[in-house]
Amino acid sequence: MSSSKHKKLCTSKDQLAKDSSSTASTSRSSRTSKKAEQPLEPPPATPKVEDSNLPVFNNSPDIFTPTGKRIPKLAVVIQEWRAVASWKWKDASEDDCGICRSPFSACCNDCKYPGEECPIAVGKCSHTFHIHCIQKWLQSQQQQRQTCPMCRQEWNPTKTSGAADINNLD
Amino acid sequence: MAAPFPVSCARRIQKELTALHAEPVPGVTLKSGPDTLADKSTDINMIIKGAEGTIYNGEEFNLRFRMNERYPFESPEVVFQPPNIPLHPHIYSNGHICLSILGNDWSPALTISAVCLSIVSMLSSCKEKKRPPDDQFYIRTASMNPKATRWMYHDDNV
Repeated sequence: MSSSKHKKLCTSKDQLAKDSSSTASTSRSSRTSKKAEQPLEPPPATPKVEDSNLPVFNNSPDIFTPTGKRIPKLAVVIQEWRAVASWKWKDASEDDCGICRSPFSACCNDCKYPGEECPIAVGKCSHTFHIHCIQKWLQSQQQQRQTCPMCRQEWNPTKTSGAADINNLD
Repeated sequence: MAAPFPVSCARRIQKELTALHAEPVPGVTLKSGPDTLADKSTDINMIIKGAEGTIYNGEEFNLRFRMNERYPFESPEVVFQPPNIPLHPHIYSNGHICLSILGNDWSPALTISAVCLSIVSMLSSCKEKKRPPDDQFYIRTASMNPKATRWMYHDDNV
């Protein structure tokens, strides 16, 4: 599991070295790819568990500027990490918030930390949003009927999901 | 458009553009946009190609999106740019589009690609090239910004 993760890191870094055009980022990535040539041993501290719920670093989709230029990812090599637990919201029916387009496991675009500080709201129509996102939308349509952005039915919150499923990995 | 965009708004636009790159809308290409969203102007220009088998087959149109700092809680300003403005019963000769999702029916769950898809389908389902009946009156009185118009949506067929 951990070796495949290292493979992933190497490929994305090699791509970075190939793609980056500006001199500054080329020099930085060539330095890091030198480091990557050393064979990486699986870190001993990594727990041996099924990796489906583990966070995978650096597999985020490529980001492009509007003119199609690829934005280089951070040239950071994760040498060793140890997962303690993973969590997700119990009531979220979808993966991403339909308003800010961020995953529910991350926070809305205005918050810094996911979790209790940026909870989710579930409507009677079963559509789910970050509570901050849906509040902003409801405030912006004061004079009109308050509707769900997804299905346009009247927005009735069931409850705020304060509960998260936590999987302990140890 | 004097102040730079709030971070939350810029992040959402960035995510949309990334998604658009990964899953393009058929017949729609990105022509130009701000290189970084720290730019003060965020005009996003798209090229819409008339689909094969429709009356706009082979034609190309420029569509401009302009978001304000309230996006996505407020709809973007979407207009066709001269010189080629599609001859369509819901598109005025100044490029303004009479489309409910750009006005009263906007929802923050809609995106640049959803709007493009609606406009492509609006063009594709059109059977006769003609301007709206009140075109001459409208273009003399309308503001530059189509969002200043109080639209009446009276035709669901085209």
